[in-house]
This record gives sequence, C-alpha cells and structure tokens, in this order.
Amino acid sequence: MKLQFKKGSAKSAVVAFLAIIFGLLAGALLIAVTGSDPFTGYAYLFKGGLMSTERIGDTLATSTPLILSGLSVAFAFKTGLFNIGASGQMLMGGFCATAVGLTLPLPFIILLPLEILAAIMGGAIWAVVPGFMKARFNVHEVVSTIMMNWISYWIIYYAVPAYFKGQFLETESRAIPDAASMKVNWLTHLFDGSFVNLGLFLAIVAVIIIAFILNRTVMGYELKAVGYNRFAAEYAGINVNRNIVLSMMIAGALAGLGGATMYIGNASNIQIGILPSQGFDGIAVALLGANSPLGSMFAALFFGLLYSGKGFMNAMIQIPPEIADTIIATIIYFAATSVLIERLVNMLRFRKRGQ
Amino acid sequence: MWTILVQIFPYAIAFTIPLLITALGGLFSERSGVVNIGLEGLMVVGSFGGALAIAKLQPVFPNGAVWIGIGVAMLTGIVFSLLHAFASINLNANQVISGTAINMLAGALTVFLARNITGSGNIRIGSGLPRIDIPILSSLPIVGKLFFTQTYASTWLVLVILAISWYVLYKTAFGLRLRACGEHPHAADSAGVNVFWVRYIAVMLSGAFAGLGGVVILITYSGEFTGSVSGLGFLALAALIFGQWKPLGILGATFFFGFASTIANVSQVMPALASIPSVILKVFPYVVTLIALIVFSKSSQAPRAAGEPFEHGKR
Amino acid sequence: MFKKVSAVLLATMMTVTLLAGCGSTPSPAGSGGTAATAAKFKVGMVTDSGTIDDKSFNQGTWEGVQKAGKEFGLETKYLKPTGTTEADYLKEIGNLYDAGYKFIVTPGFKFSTTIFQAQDKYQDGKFVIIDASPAGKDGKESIKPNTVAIFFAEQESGFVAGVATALQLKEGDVGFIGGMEIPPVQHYNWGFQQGIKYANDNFSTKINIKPENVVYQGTFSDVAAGQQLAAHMFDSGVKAVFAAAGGVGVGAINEAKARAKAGKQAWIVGVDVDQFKDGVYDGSKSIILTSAMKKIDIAAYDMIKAEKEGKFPGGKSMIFNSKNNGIGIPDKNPNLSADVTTKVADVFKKIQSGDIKVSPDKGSLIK
Repeated sequence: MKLQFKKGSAKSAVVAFLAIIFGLLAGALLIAVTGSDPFTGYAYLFKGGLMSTERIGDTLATSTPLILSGLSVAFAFKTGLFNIGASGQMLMGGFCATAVGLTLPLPFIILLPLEILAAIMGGAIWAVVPGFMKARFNVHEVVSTIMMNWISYWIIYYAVPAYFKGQFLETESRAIPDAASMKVNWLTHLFDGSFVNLGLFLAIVAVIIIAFILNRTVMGYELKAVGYNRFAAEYAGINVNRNIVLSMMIAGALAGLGGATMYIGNASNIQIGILPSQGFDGIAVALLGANSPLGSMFAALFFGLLYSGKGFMNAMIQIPPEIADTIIATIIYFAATSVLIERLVNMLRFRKRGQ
Repeated sequence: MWTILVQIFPYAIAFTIPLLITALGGLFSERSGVVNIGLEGLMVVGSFGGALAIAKLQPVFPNGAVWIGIGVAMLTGIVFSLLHAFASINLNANQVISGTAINMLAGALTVFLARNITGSGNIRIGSGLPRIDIPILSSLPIVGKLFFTQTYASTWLVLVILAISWYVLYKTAFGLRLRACGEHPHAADSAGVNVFWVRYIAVMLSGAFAGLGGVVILITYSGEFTGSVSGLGFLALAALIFGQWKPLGILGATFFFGFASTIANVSQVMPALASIPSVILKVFPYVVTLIALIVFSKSSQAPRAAGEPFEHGKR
Repeated sequence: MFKKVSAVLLATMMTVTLLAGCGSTPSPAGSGGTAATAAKFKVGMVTDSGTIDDKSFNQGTWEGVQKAGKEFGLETKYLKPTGTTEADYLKEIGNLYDAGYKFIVTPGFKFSTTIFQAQDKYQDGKFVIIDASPAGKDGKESIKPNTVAIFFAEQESGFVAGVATALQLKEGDVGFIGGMEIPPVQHYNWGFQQGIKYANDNFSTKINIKPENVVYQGTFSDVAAGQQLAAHMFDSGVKAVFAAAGGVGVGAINEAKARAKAGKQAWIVGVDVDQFKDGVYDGSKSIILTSAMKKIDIAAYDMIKAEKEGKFPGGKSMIFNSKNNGIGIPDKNPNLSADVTTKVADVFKKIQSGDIKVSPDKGSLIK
C-alpha cells in the first residue's frame, strides 16, 4: 500500500476547509432530520467549548493529546507508514509516566522530566516492535500495531491493579501526587480552574521540533524520501529499513508523550479497561491537517473544540453528543475523497473562466 | 482436558463464526484488489441494522424476526460498503484512509441514531437464536460432542457460505476474474474483464459478510447493540493475513482466535488453568499472531495489486 | 505552506463560531433564576460507565430522577461522559451546572474525587453521590453542606437473595459472577455467601459454593465473557448464578435463557433492580430466580423530594439498608414458592431487628 498525498499546500488547505464545511453541513442535516434546530445546536456546541475562560482552557486541554497523537500519525504517514497503534502507544507512555510519578518521591522540577522521558520511551518501544517487523519481515504495520494495542491493553489491565492499585478501586491506579502532575497552579488560575496543564506547551514544542526535523534536516528529508518512493530512496543510497524503524520510533514517542498529557496532565491517574480513543482520533487529525505538523495542530484544536462543546450542547438541547463524532467522521470521509472536492473546485474555476 | 475441551468447544465456535464470516468478506475485497480496513465499521452497521429490525419486528413475528434481521444486517452492510467502494474504486482514494473513515462514521452515526431511537444508544433484542443439538449427528462419537451439540443455525449458514465461497473463488470463471483483478488488474482488463465491476461486487460482498458477522454476534451471545464490536473487525483483518488470504486458512486462523480467547475468558473458573497468570492467556492470541505474521512473511500470498487504484491507461 | 493551511483553518473556526453566535437563542447560563428558588429547580444526572438503560445503577437512579421530575414538575437531564477520568466527569458536571441543572445526582463509586472538587467549585449546586462519599486525593473524606453521600448495605441484599436461592433450590451448587472488584460488588458477593450459609445452618438446605465458581470477570461490559463464564458454570453443575456484573450479567442472562429454552434448568439471581423482565423467555417464564435489589430509584427520588421541601440533608452520609427498606428482594416473583417467600420475609425481619447481623467484610469467605 502506497500512501499518496497531493503536493501543493494551498490545495490541501482548501480541501480541508471544504471538508469541514461539508462535515458541518452533513451534521446540520442530521440534526434537522432528527427534529432539532441545527443553528441552535451548533450555537451551543461552540459556546460549550468557548464561552468562558475555563471552557477555553478545557478545550485546549482536550486538544492536547489529540495534537500529539495526530502528530504521531502524521509523522509515520510521511514515511509511508500507517500508525493505527497510537492508542496502545499512548496507553504505554501514560502508564510509564504514571509509574514513575507514583514510585519516585522527587521534587516537581526533577520528576516531570523523568516522567516525560519515561512516557517517550514507553511509546517509542511500543512502536519500534511493529517498525522492526515492517523493516525486517515486511509485516504490515496496520495489523501489527493493532495487535500491539491489545497487548498493551491487557498488560496495563493486570499491571495497574497488581502494582499501583488505587485506594478503593481496582479499576484505576492511585492518584499521582501533586509534584508528579502536569497541572500547575498559575495555569489553573489563569484559566479559572480549568484542567489545562503544561502538556499543552509540550505539545506545541513537539509541533515545532517535528516541523523542524521534517523540513530542515537530512533525517527528515530521508524519511520523506522513503515515504515518497521506497525503491527510489533505496537506489539513492538511503537505508530504508533504518528509516522505517526510526520513523515508527519517533511516532511512538510522540504518542507516548500524548498519553502522558492525558494521564498525568488532564487526569491524575491511569485507568484500566480502556484504549484511549484519542489514539484513533489522531488519524483524523493527521488527515485533516494534511500530515503537516502545524496543520495537525489546528485540526486537533478544531476537533478538541467539538469534543469539548458537545456535552454542553447535550445539556441545553435534545441532540445526542455523538453528533460531534459523526461530524468528525464525515469530515474525514470528505477529506479521504478529496479528489471529489478537487474536481468540484476545478469545475467552479472553469466556469468562472468561461464567463 | 477432554472434558474441558468438550465444554468450551461450542462457545469457542460461537466466538469464531462472526470473525470467520467477516474475514471471508475481507478476503473477497482484498483478492479483488481493494484493501478494506473498514470491516470493523461494517460489522457495527450490520449489528445496528439487525438489532433495529429485530427489536421492531419481534413483537409482530416472534419467529421470523431474527432471520429478517440477518437480511437487513447484510443489506445495511452492503449499502455502507458502497461508500468505501465509491471512494476506492471510482475516486482512487487512499483505501486505508477511506476504510478508517468508514470505521469512524459507523461507530458515531449508529450510536447517534440509536440515541434518537432508544434514548440510550443501545438497542436490546428480545431473544436471539436458540442453541440446538443436531439430531443423529450429535450422538456420533467424539465429533458429535464437539461439532453437533449446542450449535446455532447461524453457524451452519456461515459454514455453507464458506464452502460456496471456496467453490466460487477457485472453480468458477467469476472467481478467476476476481483473483486476476487482485493480482494483475491490467492483464485482466486486457482480457476483457470489467475490473471496476468485479471490484464493486467484491466490496459489496465484504459489506454483506461483515454485516452478517455483526448481526451474528448480536443473535448468538450479545443480545444487544452497543455501538461497538470491540475490535473484532480488526481481528478479522489479522486473521485474513494470518490465514494467507485463503478460505481454509482463515477458517484455521479464526478458529485459533476463537479458541484462545474463550480459554482466556473461562480460565478463571477452570482449576486446571488457574495457575497460569491471566495476562499471559489474554495476550497469547495477539502474540501468536505477531509471530505467525513473521513466520509467514517469507511466503506471503498477499494479492499483488491490493491497495493499488486501477486506472485504465496506466501500464 | 503551513501558514496558509493554518490561516484557512483558523478562519473556518472563526466563521463557524461567528455563525454559531448569530444563531444563538436566549443565553442559557447565568440567567440564574431557575435554581435560586428552592421550589423550582432542574435536576441533572451524570452516568457512570455504561448506558442509561444498564438495568443497574444508572437506570435505577434515572428512574428515580424521572419519577421525581414528573411528580414535582421539574426539568430533568442526564449526560453520559465520554471517558471515565475525573476530568471527564467534572466537565459534564460543569455542563449541567452551566445549563441550569444545579441539583446533580451521580451514581457510582468513581465519582468520589470528582464530587470532592465539585462541591467546592459549585457552592450553590447540590450534589447527591451514590455508593461513595467525596474524598480527596489523600483519601480523606469530606462531605460539604451542599452534598449528600448515600450508601447501601449490599451485603444485606445479597444475604436475603442467598437465603431465597438456597431455600428454593434446596441442594446443589451455585456460583457468583461479579463485574469489577469494587466494594459494592464485593459486598453483594460476601452477603450472598453468608445467606447461603445461614440457610444451610438453619433451614438444612444443602447448597454449595465452590471457590472456582466465584469470579470477578474484570469489566462491566464484556458480554461474551459473561456468557462463556455462565455457560461453563452451568456445564459444571451450577444451578444458579448470582450475576452482579452489568453487561457481563447480560451475557449470563442470555446464556441462561438459551438453556431454559432448550428445556434445561438454569437460574440467574439478578442485581440492583428487579431483573425479572430481562430474563423472560417463552411468553411469561423468566430465568431470574430473584433479584438482590438496592433501591437506588427511591434514594434518588427521596433526595429530590427533600430538596423540594427544603429539607435537603446536606453534609450527611446516609445508609439505605433493611431498616429503612432500602434493600431487599422483589415482593413478587413466581419462581419462588409461597413457603420460600414467607421464610425469607421472616429472615428479612430478623435482619431489620438486628437478630441477624450481616458482615460487610470478607472474613473467611471466598474472594
């Protein structure tokens, strides 16, 4: 399977824009069909994400893991790899970070970097396995990363109650101490008690670093070359296998960091029995963001806004909150069938010229 | 050990069947050259369509409702698979992404609709299929106990479909054409095969079979639509590769999954297995799949043109 | 390249927001008024994992809320959180609060730390937490004047169901399938075992529970596993399974129904609410032998009624047990004989009077 993406960023921006519009239109249609008023619905949806400082903070915090999982998927895409295992990598990264936070009684300033390191390593190791299998044995990464998802799911399912059991609950770990949390007082106060945390800045730093790697380094050039044409890259003397493993490793590290922002940032413990859906949403984020780091960031913010506002919409009006997920899925379908949108754009252009 | 085997065999088979039929659907799609990772979503829509039909019809036709539900589920699967067919065959879109969109859309849209219908997002059916012992055959030694007791009618339906599929794939002209489309679409095209049409049929078959897989879960053990099939669609995809894109291969692969996960589930109540840590039993099927993928990688039978869009002029 | 993409995306977001702003109707939050007077208030509920029709505590709570809403003419609303972290729960509480639903009921153990924060954050809100009391990260409990914590004596409910099961079946094996290993589920299990033992000692029944037939499946949602576990127990000679396990219990019920339809004996003891209807097959027969209930609906209803009458018992922790009829088995179930029903009623009275003490601890019991 070769992943082909159209060159030309203006085009992909227009496609993304139109896909969003179509997605929102489809959502409006659904709302109307089910007997509610789409305008009121959307008003509440966006108000829910933006109407107060605290809600803006919550929206940013909701977007944070999405930025990182989106970045993870986008990065692997650049090397022609489909990382559907971001969920498992997030879970592993989050677990490693929580484990460090619960085990080492260190001050915040030392503990946080250690937790981040643990998260990055956890995610990276979890992605290196499929990366290696792809490079060495040509095992398709879609299947191997899904298997890795379930393996991490069950390992954490048993490891958390065995080693980090909560005070009362078997289903989650103990809460991490304040010194181990990414939540910091000044940020919480700045956003009126929101759960926004340092994870947001980590995500932004990651966006910048990844953009730099992809666009300004030899490594980034090689990774993209492998993604563009594996055989040509090999002919040009690039070590394809090494680059595949490296790409998965970095993608996993990003997802692992995303897991940390979820479990020791937005939340304060890790839960068992759930593969974080944010990992799968990363695919949507990367796709809408046209696989560019900055594009992914804005796509994640947009999806975060929808996710953040849907509960309030549901509280105000009789529209099931799953409308947000439906809108996102529709946007992705339109983005996937971008050819259609491109044809539409071309048609409109021709008409203009003709007149 | 024998008693344990006899006891869990019927449940292992019950768990295998939805995987088997879904993987078989995936087989048709991929052998024709269209990668379909939307199987999970197609199972979900099948389960939704089936649950809705059964829940609405059961008060009126207590006996026929389940079978109508099976039909509706397959139809829903076909309709939804057209989205994938359109994107990947007409528009040459990236098939993996289109499949992902199908998965996302199925999970969100069905729950959205179910929330509007039932208020909770779940649809519960009154009752599913009864389990029956096959007369005469069930009293045979050994096999009688393993294969012919406590079976569901849907199990036999799926096995018949499997047999027909094998025949169609290897013994008919259509099967030959379909496989040709997945290996050398341009050669097939020059030989006068309508690649577009064959691929459309194949993707629709995958929709129908995955929809059937989804509804089988509903009428055999779950009894309730919940908006998810907990990753079985992806497992079916793995079984397809594990089974090397061959009907009998996927029969073996899915049965392995069914058996291994049933053992993991009931190990808690089996003194003989209680000494093995549960985590090992739970990850066992996944680890074995990874190892199997490595072992088979040397002799991979993957359809050569799977995932490649087909364009007339391209040589 | 990035600039353009981001600019366009940003523009979209802004356009959409503006559009949304234009279409807005009267401002929902801040219009206060509604909750200021005690007579007219809106009641909200946040569900725990699982859906509103889980045949268990979500459904029970919601039924109580709806009943009160209808009776007192109050608006009601439930929200289902997207995840199960504290942040997810707090977000939904905030959504309800901002939408004017300031009386909020939260069923489930997992809300403990959430309500601990919410009771301080929304001081003019009222909170009812079921199965737990608000506790901080350090485990210290603190119930503020705007919160009530409600507990149930599940062990007593399990005990009564255990006695009923033993009396009805007289001899043979029984089993227990729990969801996650959390206190309410454990209490049911331990109470059930004590009830069986009591019946064996006092009514000379011969009911046996083998250690391997007492399991916690580990989730409240794995229907397939529930079916397989129940099937295995039935195959190994178990006559009745007490399933305190949400969706896992649904699997067990399906299995029992399939067996009963084939003419075999298979009983399930239901949990939390009267599950008789869920076990119906062949018209009017049901495989639900009895149900170990805790009357969450009544608890939720009572709290709303108290608020309506200005008697909200804020700051308190309340226990619903046999004494206030907060637990028990359904009055009627055709699967229990008249004799059994009478005997069980006697036992229930003895629990009420304190003659029989049911321990909420594991002691020497299985798991």
